[in-house]
Amino acid sequence: MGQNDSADSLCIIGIGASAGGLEAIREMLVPARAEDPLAYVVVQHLDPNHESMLAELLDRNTRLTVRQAEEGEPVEPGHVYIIPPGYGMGLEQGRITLTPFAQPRGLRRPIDDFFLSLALDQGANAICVILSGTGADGSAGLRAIKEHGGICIAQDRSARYDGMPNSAVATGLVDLVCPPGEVIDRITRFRRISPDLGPPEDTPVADSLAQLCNALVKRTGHDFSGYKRSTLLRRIQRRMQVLGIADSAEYLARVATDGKEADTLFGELLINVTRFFRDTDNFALLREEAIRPLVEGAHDGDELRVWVPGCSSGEEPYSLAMLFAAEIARSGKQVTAQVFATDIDERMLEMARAGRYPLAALQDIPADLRDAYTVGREGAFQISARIRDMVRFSVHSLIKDPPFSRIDLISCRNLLIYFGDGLQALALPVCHYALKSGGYLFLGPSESIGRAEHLFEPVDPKARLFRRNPGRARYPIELPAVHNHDRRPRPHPTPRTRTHTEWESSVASSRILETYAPPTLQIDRNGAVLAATGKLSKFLDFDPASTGPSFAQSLARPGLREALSALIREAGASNTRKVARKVEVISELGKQSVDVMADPLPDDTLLIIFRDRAPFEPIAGDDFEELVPSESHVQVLEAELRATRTRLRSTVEELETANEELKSSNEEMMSMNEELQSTNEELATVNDELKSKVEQLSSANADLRNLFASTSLALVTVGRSMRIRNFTRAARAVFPFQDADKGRPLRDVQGVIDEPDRVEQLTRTVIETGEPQTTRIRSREGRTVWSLSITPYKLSDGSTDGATLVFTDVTEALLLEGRLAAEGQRLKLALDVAAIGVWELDPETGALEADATVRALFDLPAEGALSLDDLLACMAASDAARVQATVGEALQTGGDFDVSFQVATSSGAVRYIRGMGSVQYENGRASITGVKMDMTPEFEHAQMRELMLREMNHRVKNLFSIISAMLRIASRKAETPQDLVADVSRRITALARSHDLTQARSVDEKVRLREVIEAALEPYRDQHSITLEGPDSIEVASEELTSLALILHEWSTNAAKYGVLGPVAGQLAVRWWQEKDDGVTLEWNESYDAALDLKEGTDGFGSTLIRSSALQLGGKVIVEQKSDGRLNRMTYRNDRYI
Amino acid sequence: MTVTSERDPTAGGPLPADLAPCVLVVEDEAIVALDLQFIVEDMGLEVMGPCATVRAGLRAVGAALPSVAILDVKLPDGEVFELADRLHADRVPLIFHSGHADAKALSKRYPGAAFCPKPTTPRQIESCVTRAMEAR
Repeated sequence: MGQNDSADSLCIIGIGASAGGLEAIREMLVPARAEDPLAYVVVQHLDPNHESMLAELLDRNTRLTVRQAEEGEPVEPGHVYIIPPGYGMGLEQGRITLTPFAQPRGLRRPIDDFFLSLALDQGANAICVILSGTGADGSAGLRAIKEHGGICIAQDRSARYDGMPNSAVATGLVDLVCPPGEVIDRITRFRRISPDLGPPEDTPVADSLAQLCNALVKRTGHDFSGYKRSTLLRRIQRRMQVLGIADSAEYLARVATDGKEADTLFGELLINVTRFFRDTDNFALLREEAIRPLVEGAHDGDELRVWVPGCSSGEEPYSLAMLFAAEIARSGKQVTAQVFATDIDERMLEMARAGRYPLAALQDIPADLRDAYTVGREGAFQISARIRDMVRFSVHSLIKDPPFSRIDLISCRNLLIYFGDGLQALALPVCHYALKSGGYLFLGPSESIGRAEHLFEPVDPKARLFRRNPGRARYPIELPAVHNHDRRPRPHPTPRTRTHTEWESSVASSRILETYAPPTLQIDRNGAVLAATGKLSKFLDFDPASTGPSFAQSLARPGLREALSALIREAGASNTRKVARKVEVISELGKQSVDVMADPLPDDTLLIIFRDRAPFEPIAGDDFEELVPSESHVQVLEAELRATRTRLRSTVEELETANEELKSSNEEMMSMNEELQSTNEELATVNDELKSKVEQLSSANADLRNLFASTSLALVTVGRSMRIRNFTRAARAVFPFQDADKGRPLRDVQGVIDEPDRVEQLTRTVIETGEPQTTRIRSREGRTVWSLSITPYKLSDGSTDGATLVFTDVTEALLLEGRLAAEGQRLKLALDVAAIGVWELDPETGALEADATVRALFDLPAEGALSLDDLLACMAASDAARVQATVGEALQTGGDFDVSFQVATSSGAVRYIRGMGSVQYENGRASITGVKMDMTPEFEHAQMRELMLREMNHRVKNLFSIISAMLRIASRKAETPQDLVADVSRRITALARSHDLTQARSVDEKVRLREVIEAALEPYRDQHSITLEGPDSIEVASEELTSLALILHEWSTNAAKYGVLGPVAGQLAVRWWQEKDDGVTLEWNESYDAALDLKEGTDGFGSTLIRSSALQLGGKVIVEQKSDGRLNRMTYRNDRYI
Repeated sequence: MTVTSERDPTAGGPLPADLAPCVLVVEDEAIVALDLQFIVEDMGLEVMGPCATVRAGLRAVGAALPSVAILDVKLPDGEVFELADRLHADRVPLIFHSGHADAKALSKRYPGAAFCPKPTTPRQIESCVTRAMEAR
């Protein structure tokens, strides 16, 4: 039993309950925590024919896992195991064993059985709790628990039926009595007090063990120091734990001062388990090998003497007495058997003397003996008076008090195991001394004779039956000294009515007694003859047929009977010697006058001594006639009385038997009642729960019905076999359901969907796999689209038992979705084409979401998180501050903003960007959404336009100044306003024509020299012979244009006035070419058909203008006027401006 | 008959500044230049130029400094500033005769310079020249 008893190791708590137990168990388990190393096994009296719902009921009230126990199941912490109906439960190496009940109903003691098994399997880790219930089941089992060092707890007065707890408390072995709700707390506390006992030798108690034993000797007179140390330590430790004392010194002080505690500890130390016919096989062997030979070897009148030291509560001596009684009855001999049962614990002896035992113990007694020697009592049974008479209980210590002697059989079982080696070595010689030669010693299964082999020889070593070796009985003088303590006054042993005689049988004394001593009887106070010596036939009349004890009064011959009766009564009462003189004893043969003396002995017996006063007087025949009638009247009365007594006894016995049967029937009824009570409690609880469940269900059902009726969800549920289970009204849009369709296969209902087979297939898949499925399904004409969601229909145990089909009409949504997609596409296109980027800013985090366009505008990477700062960093410093301020202001006012700024791109160019945004609020959070546009081309166009305008302005002003100059110059030589107007308008026209050349082409394209010449000659070309000759490649810069046009205009005007374009017939050839030194030469050659008379001074102002214009071109003009023609040649550099 | 109409101001070497007051005319439009020339000559002053380019103007002032200069700002070979700087350094009064010149910028660069925005009247030119002559 060296189990480690630390608070962490698993501790199994056996709970015994019966009527009223459900409530108590519930209460007890409420505070239980699953993580504690505690396991619970509930043994409840259950109706074997009715399935128990106890596990289910308990499961709702506790955090622990509750289940009905199964065979072979290991007991685990945090679990509650419930006994199944019709089975007895046990424990084997931490596993549950179940066995069908062997005993008839009424004799079943499942709680006792389990506690015993629990104690054997778990030892000190076992805890038993006895809760409400009638009867006494559990009281025997708790002894086993206690013996193995476990703890016993009983419910207090809160028990609805207090039979079981009271019976448990009555054993005196219960450690705690408390309400069920406190049990677990107490257990936890109890285990915490001594978290680690470790090996017994290490416990703190070990040091003070000797002192404790001393204290006990002083208080109780019994010395335990020779007892087995480990057992002592364990039990003392347990006691300390129960008291909540951790310090051994404290406990020692308590034992020394508190007599009650010393008594309790004394009782605790003496706990052992005993039962009727413990180790049945060994008892059978004992009967065969020892008792039978003893009885057979005895003669009539012999007395067999049996000693049971350490008899405890008496089961063992009664067992032996029954065996002896049975054997003697079998042999038919006049042999008596006397059993001396001794123990040092008076409480136990009291229980033993009463001879009342719980019914559970009845099953231990073999059936034949049970019927013969037990009597049923209320809730218990009693050993019959005959057997009880055979057993004498007395306080006696095997090791301390002088032993009995001339014993035929000593049964000393399970006593030596509590003794240390020293005590064992003493006890066996004591037994040897007490036994007759050839007497038997019967030991417990785990005991041996050890070193005392020379004293005993084994009869059957397995059964632990030994026979005393012949040899001188040596009284073991080294018995422990008993005088060194002040003995506690003990109650006087109960007066004995009879006691043994100890006449030493020696030949001499026999001879004296037989031959020389007066005839003497030894009788008890009632007159029963204990011993006789001398010739007594003259005085006593033996009836060979009578059995049982003989009473002197009834044996006495006429004449003596009255005197003897009076003598015994008076001597017994006064305890003084009495004599009856001259008593006439009449026998068949004659008359004898005799003095009868009664001498009370100290052992409550009387010696009756007969002394003849006169010689024997034979009687005459005729006297016979006279005397008999006078005496016979009394005799007849006495005989009648005896017969009546006998009849009465047999009637009483019959009555007792009948009563016993009734009791046993009653007992069975009681136990059935008990079981029914438990069942009833269960059922009542279940009923309550069912009621509330029914309420919940009907409310849920109503909810469901309303839901089905009112929901717009098209929902159909089908069973495993695809039969319609239920549907909502809205489902009729899909299937034309009638109420009668419930239960029909779904395929039978012709719906409007276009692919019923696919729906069915999908539903099957859902039912088989348990995985939900979603699909889209169209109506047959294709106008409606449903989103179909199929989910498995789960039962409360999680299994799939069908499917739920939900049809959602998504036609509208799909249309909308399509439209939205198209819209989105268009918007996207617009944004892409316009290169508008979209961005969104979360002002709280500064996180910025931007699309690819925005990122490209800012030359930012296409991926990765952005913030507003990233954008600001791309801007010029002044822009960044402005933009930030604008955004901040927009956030505060909640308005829109529009801001333009410049961004330097990686290529170094500047990009003009316009950003617009507006603040939006969603769920109280502000966010800014906006767009960004690249304004660079627009900006450049504006700049260009401005440039053009300025240029235009410049040119117009230039033109004005040219015209005004021209006017002024013309005015210098004009003779009439008409001339002036004609002259100026011609020139303006010529200038305008040449200017036209610049307008008809793009900026970069230059005007070619040939074009300028053609424009100047335009008015004359169709009437005159003009040849133009020169490369097209020579171009005219815009700055040169006016000068060239003026020169050509003057030349052509001159030719029109005086030359070939006018009055003179001839040809005009205009040639131009590129000089080698980048100069250009323009030649105007007029050749007259006929020679002209040259006139002087016709040029004047015209030649001034030509000269001045040529000067502007950086060129020179040469004019050669001849009679046959005129040559104007101008050479100028046309690279001047390049 | 050969008429040489060349009248290159650079041809005859630098003229003495004190011979007669002479006015440098820089103008690329031939008619406008001729008009200016007539106006200046009508005032009884000598005309230097007219020069159509900055280079021609620089060449002209390299020979002799004028008393006053009438300058067009935009010329075929660029703006007139190089020439104007040179003249301004030599304290020649400047008259800008231009269609688009920014008067503010110019008067900041050439304090004392006069402006005759195009198109102009002979009277404006005359008064500018007269004032410039007096201011010398």
